[in-house]
Parts: sequence; structure tokens; C-alpha cells
Amino acid sequence: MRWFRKDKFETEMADEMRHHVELQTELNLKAGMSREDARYAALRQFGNVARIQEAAREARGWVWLEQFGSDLRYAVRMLVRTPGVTITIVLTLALGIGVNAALFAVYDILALRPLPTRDPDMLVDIRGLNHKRGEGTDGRFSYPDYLDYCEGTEAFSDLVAVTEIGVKLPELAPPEADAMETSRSDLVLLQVVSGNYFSVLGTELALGRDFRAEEAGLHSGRPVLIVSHQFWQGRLRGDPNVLGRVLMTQQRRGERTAYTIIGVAAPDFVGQSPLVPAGWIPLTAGTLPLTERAQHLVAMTGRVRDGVTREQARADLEVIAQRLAQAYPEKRRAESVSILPAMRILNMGLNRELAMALSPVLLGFVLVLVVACLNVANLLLARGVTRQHEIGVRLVLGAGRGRLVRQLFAENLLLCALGAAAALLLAMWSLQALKPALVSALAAEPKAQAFVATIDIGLDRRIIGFGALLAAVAGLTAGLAPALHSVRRDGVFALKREGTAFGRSITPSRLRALLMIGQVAVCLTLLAVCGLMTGKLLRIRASSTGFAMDGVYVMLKPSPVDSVGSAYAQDMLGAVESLRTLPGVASACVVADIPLRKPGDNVRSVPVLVAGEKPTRISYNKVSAGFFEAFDVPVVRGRAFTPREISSGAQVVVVSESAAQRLWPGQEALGKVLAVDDSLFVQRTGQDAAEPGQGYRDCEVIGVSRDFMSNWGGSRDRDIMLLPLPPKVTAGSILVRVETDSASVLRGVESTAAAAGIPLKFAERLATVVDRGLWPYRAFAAISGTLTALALLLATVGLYGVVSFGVNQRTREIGVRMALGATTERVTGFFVRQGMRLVAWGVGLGLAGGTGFSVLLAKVMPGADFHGSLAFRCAVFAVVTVLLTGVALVACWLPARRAAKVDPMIALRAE
Amino acid sequence: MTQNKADLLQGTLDLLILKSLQNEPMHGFGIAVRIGQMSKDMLTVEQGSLYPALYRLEDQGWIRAEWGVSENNRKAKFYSLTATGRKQLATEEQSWAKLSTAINLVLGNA
Repeated sequence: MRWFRKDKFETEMADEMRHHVELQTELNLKAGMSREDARYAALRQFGNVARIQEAAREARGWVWLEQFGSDLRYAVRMLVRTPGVTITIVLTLALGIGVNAALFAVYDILALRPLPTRDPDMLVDIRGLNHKRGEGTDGRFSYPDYLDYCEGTEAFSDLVAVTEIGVKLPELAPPEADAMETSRSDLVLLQVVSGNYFSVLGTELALGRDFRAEEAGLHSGRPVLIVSHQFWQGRLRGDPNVLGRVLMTQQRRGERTAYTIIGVAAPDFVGQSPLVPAGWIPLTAGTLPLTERAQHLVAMTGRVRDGVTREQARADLEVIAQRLAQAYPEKRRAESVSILPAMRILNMGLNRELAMALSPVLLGFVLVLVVACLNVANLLLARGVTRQHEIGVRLVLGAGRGRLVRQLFAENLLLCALGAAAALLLAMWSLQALKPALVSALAAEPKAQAFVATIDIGLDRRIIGFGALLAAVAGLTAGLAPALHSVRRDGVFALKREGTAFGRSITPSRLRALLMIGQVAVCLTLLAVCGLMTGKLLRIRASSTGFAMDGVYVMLKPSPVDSVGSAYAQDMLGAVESLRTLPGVASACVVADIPLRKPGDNVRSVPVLVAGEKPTRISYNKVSAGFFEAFDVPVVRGRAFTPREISSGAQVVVVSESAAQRLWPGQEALGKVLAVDDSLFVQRTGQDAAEPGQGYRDCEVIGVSRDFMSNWGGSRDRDIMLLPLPPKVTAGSILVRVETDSASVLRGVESTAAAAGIPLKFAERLATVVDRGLWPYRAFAAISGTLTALALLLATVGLYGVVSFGVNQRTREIGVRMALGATTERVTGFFVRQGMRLVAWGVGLGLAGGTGFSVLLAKVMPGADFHGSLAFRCAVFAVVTVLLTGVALVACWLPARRAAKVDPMIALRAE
Repeated sequence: MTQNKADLLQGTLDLLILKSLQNEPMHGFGIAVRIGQMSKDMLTVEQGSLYPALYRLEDQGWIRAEWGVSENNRKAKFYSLTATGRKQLATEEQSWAKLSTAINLVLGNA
């Protein structure tokens, strides 16, 4: 119907204008002109019919849409006509947008996606803060504290307490998996929640019912379970009779509890973390030490009353926090609170260090997009040049420049839409394909890996929106300059087909050269940063840790929740003693923290005082007797701890040589007295009678050990102070060093430990554990490596395109030159030089960019020390420059060689 | 075109077209001729602006087009004022009067 109307409109307009010219002709005839003259005069007077018609069309409202439609149809035809360029552009955009869409998808899951709850804006997460220590509380509260907050708050309508436990489901274990496999895949996450959890969060259940008062009371409960939809569909195979089914669970230490399933959560409700829990159980039905004031177990989330501001809500809780701090003055207690919108686990805006640390990575992703855009802009420009003739014809025939720009834009839009679609597919496919690798790379612990695997990454509205937004931005930025550039030229000039002759356009356009230089520069920047990362990683791995790792096995430390109770605590030291006497075992010990287990520079440290000086901080570790033998770290002066010192908790320390040098420069450390902050001597259980204060306790230095590395990458990575483990050890890792690395010895270790009451399921090599501590470096190097490879690929394709475009444009010229006697070497060399000139500029800029980037890295991650020494940086920069130049040479040489193969006769006849 | 003809002030073309259609429907050529006559050949309407203006006014609903037979017995498109067009003409005449008075005052010709 519309097209019919449009045709009618066109013919009517033509009729009307013809009529006008006829009337004018008659007027001219009357004025005495000849018929011929009269008609010409009338036409001249009327002007350019097509242009007037175009202006008249545009005066009408709906013409824009119609033009857009015809532009799009034209664009489709143009894109189909040059499939090679189209595919290259779409793939380039897909890569650039795809990596960013993938990144967004991950970020969305971690931080942005709103909670699937009723009125999520009114929900806040409440974290406890302890300013004096700066460490200690992980923002959680004890259950008695939670009850007090519930009682006392006026700003909140409800408070919810949440914690989580990992349990095994022996009945649901896949029968074919072997024992080790079972122990990992079998582990599921259960959220342990207060009874009001579902009603306060306001989520419906898919099946069954919420907790009843008697099942999840404040002080007592029953073992009932609401399973997640995912768990029901997955492990329970969508069992229709799931309600009432009893699920047997087993905790780490072997206690079994049978939970009755009373409900199934809604499909979109996965709790507050991206890890999908198997289900939710009442807090009061578990085995958690709920009566302990000092056990900071639960995270609190609250629903703010209507009309209460965040600040009022915070102040309200603050009063309670201070009152509790006065009534129960233990260490690590929350003395004030902070409030954040209840979100996913990452709260980027509030975790500044994390945001800062991630910013270079984000910049890297953006840079890949920049390279892709530059590349697309260049390809569009090149295509614009080949279409100069067409555009020239249209300009001469009276097409408006605005109209042409709009038309070229329609083409770009179409390209970007295709690119975005391909990008989203690519992003989703790669995330799915890479998920196992991501899971193992990002989650250090096997336990965490099992949980991270439950994260559901899928294409949703928000990710599609983000991809479309990126595509629009990319299309506008990459398409604007080429579109303007194409129509800028004078039409007549374009008609002369100057592109194929000697003349002005022999030098490639400046804009294209600039775009190419930009690509090379960004690419080299990324290469330099990636080089620094990789170099750093290699350097760290090559550096000596200073302790033995061969034949040392780690028995993973039991979770602190399970290990409460002193009977178990004593078992740990007892088990080590019995392990030490086992044949084949060289040594065994307990350490509070396994050296180098954690990534980065985050070993625990305390203030210490050397007589007459200001307090300074030093890293520490607590060890049992046998540490020095097990780790093969000899005590070079003085002596190691005696068993009596261990069992009596004597106030003695052993320091490393570096630490001795730092604390007592130029003096003998042995026998000196070191005042150590007394927080180290207070037990966390709260049963300890010691007064929690701000004092120091004098400790005698009884030995100086050889240096060994205690944390990754820090400047003081070998400064450490070792203390004897307190007699009632509640947490720690058991390590054994075996004489012969055989399975039978390990089995002996396991059975002996089990006999001593400690289930040591996860025996791992110390080397594996330590290697995992490097994961931030590895992840960083892997991400920057991937991004760099992408950028390099794009830049190479771009360079190849630019040079081969130049060759195509100048086929005739090459023919003439060769006919006049130019050698193939000369011709090849000419094109290679031209391409490499751009590369040289890009390399110069890229080195500056790389330096800037590494300075930025050093600023945001001072501990990580990516910056490196000057010599190291120069070496890295030299290597990446050579690499890039080599790749660029190939990219230039391939098309240039084609130029040399031009047959002069064919080239000259090509017109 | 000769230099001593006044340039059409931006936006006055609409007013002139509406004014020329005040008494009777006319076709495009007629409108151009009428504006010339009314201004004693001081103003010339370029076809390049006339037709887009006509289509725009039609789109705005101020004028209406109908096919009829012209004085030389040809099919021609006749434009006539609509009711809103008449109102628009009155408003534009008023504001033009105000404007020209004001400009004359500024120039000291009043």
C-alpha cells in the first residue's frame, strides 16, 4: 500500500513540475522567443528537477523512514557485492565487541544483575567494621549479635542472617566416579539462613512451602531443606515427588544429617551469590556454634523501612554496634557498620582496590575494541575509495551530500548490526567453551571450583543491550570519518578515475595512514604490557622460594566452623606427632598459613616494637615443631622451638635473616627482645582469659633462620617472624614430607591421620598449592595475552589490507614502472617501505603508550611490582618491538610481492 | 536574476504562499507568478524553494492539493487554503506586521 502511494506521489510530482515548465514555456513564447529557446529558458529557470524533487520529498514527514528503508536495501546489495570486505569487517567487529560483551557478561553476573527479589532497592547488605584492627572481621556477625540487632533496630523492618556450608551428598554421588573425583564433584553448597529468609526477600517458591516457625525458630529448628530449582532439575532429575524426600548430607568431619525437602525455590532465585546453592536450611537446625558471641558466622541483609534513608539506617545499626562493643569487648568485633545495596558478590564501586586493580584489564579490553574500530574505519575508507566513481556520479547527478552520508551510514549500521550479532554469538560460545578453563584458573581452591561451575552464563536482555550499544558506538565512530571522507571529494574530480593514474591520490590518504598508525600503536601498547606481565610471571617462577617442595604434601586445613572444640584441636598436634614417627615420613608439622598459598602480598602481619624505636609491621606465621625440617629451612644461628615451648606457648620467636637484618641492622639478633603485639597471643574462641588490649608482649629471639619466600611479589617477601603454635590450635594445615614419594606412604599417612581423628581427604603436593598462589599473575598474563593476540591479529589484517589496497590502486603505475625497467625487488621494496613507515610511527607511539601503561600498573598495584627494573622493561620492550615488526614485515611483504608479479602488459591494458 | 530585487527573508515564503492562496486555489506556477505580480516584480520565487515549501505546507495541513484543469486545459495540481491554513495566515500576518513595525522603528523610518 505504501509503495503504491509512493509511486503515485512520484508521478504526480513529476506531472506537476512538467506542467510548471510548460506554462513557463508558453509565457516565454508569448514574450517572443522561439519554441526551442522558450523551452530551454523555462528549464534553465526551473533548475535541477531531480534536486528540487528530492527537496520536495524531504519536506514531507514520512520520507525519512522511507529513505532509510531504501538505503538499507541498497546497503544489503552493496555488502553482498563485496563479500570479502563485508566478512572481514563483520568478523573484526565481532572480535572487538565480542571480547567486551563476554567481559560484560561476567561482570553482569558478578555485580550488576539485580537480586531476584521483591523490591530489591530496599534491601541492603550490612557489614561489620573494626577500625582499630583494620583486619579481622570479615564483615560478619555472630548469631547472638544478630538477635540483638533484630531486637534493637527500628530502621529495618526485618534482618536476615545467612551463612553457608559445603556438604557432601553420598547418596547422589555418581557411581562411576572414583574416590578422588567423588570427593570433589560431590560437594554442594548449602545456604544456612534465618527462618524469615524467603519471606523477607520476597520470593515465591516454585513448589512446596516456606519454613514454618517450629522448623526455623530463633533458638531451635528442624532439619528441613528448600532446594534450588537448578538442583531439583539437575541432581534430583526433576523428581515430581520431591516434597517429603529425605536427603542425607555429610559434613567434612563425617557427621551425617538427614534433611527433609519441603520446597523448591523459583527458577530465577539463586540467592545472593552467583554460586547457585543446592538449597537453603534453617540456621537453628544445623550444627553451627550459634551461642558463641565470638564466632562471626552470619552475613546480615536487611530490608529498610519505607521512608528511612540509607544514612539513617546505618546510624540506627551503628548505635547497636557500639552498645554491643561495650558489652562484649572482644577483639575483631564489629564496632561500626557499613551498608551497601544488596548486590552480587562484587561491589566494584565500594571496593576501590579491586576496581583499581582491574582497571588496566578493562583498559585492555577497550583497547582491543579501539583497534577493531580503527581497522573497520580503514576498511570502510578503502571501500569508499573504490566507490569514488559511483559516488562521483551521484554527486554530479545532484545527490545531496547529506543524503549520501546518510546512505553510507545505513551501510555502516547494517555492518554493525551483523557485527554485534556475530559478537554476541562469539561471546556466548567462547564463555561456554572457556568456562571450565575459567573456573579452574579463577578459583584457586578445588572446593571453590565446584561452586563456580554452577554459575550460569547465558545470553540475556542486558547483554544483548550492551552488545547493541557497543556496536552503535563502534559504528558511529568507525563509520563517520570514512563516510564524510567519501563525499568530501569533488564529484567531477572523482569521475576522472584518478585513483588508477599517476596523480594526487598516489600517496595513500593521510586519514588511512593515521588509522593504521593508531592500530599499530595500540597493539604495541598491549604487547608491551603483556610482555611485562609474562616476564614478571616467569621471573617469579624462576626465583627460588628458599624452601623444599619436593615430596611435601599438604593436608588441607579443616574449616574453622567444623574445628571448634578443643578435643579436635589437640588431635591435630597429636596426629602430627604420630605422623612424624611413621616409617617413610621424614617430617610433619602444622603451620597456621602455608607459605605462598595465597595470591599477592597479603600475608598476615602484626606491629612489633624494637626497644627504643617506632612500631613497625612484620609478617608472621605460627608453626609447630618439625617445621624447619619439613620445609628444609635450617636455623642458621640459635635453635628451633623445643616441643616444650610449643606445648607451653612460650614467648619465643625465630626470625628470618632478612627480618633480623631489618630489625637490628648490623647487630646480632640472637637473644634480643622483640615486643610483639599481644593480639597474636589471644585465642579467637573467646574462652581465653587474656585481657584483649593494646599492649605488647616481650618475646625472645631464639633463632635466626635462612631466608625463605613467604609471599608473592612483595618487596619484603622474605621478612618473616615465626612463632610457636599455641597449644590449643584450632586451625592450620598439616604438612608431611615423605622420604620416598610413593603412593603407599601417602596411604599410610591418610590412615594414620584418620586413626588420629582427622579425615585428610585432600592430600595435595605443596608445589601444586604454591603454584595456585600464582593465579592472579597467571590470570593477568592469560587475559592480557589473549587480548594482545587479538589486537595483533587485527592489526596484521589491517596492515595487510592497507598495503594490498595500495597495490590494487596502483597496478597501472606498477606496470609503467616495470615497463620502464624497475626490478621486482624495487617494486616490492617500495611497498614494504611504505607500510613499514606507518609501522615505525606506530611503534614509536606504542612504546610511549606501553611506558605510560606500565607506570599506571605500578600505581594501581604497588605490591604486584609489574613495572620491573629499567633493564627488564627495556628488554621486554625490545622483544615486543622485534616481534611486532617481524609480523608487520610479513603482513607488508605478502601483498607487496603480489605487486612485483604484475605483468606490465596486462597492467597497462587494465583500463 | 538582477541584484536590485529583494532577497526573500528566511521564513517569509510560507507567508507569501498562504497570502497568494487567500482568494482562490492556484497551481504552483500560478503562485510563483502571483507573488511576482503582487510584489510588482520585486520578489521572485525560486522553484527550488517553492515546491519543497508547498509540500511542507501540505504536510503541515495548512494547504490542500486537488487535481483540476488549468487555464490552458491541462491537468494541474491546485492548492487551496485549509481552515487551519487561514488561521496560520492571520497569525503570520500579525507577527509580520509587528516585526516590520519594529524594524522600521529601529531604522528610524516610522
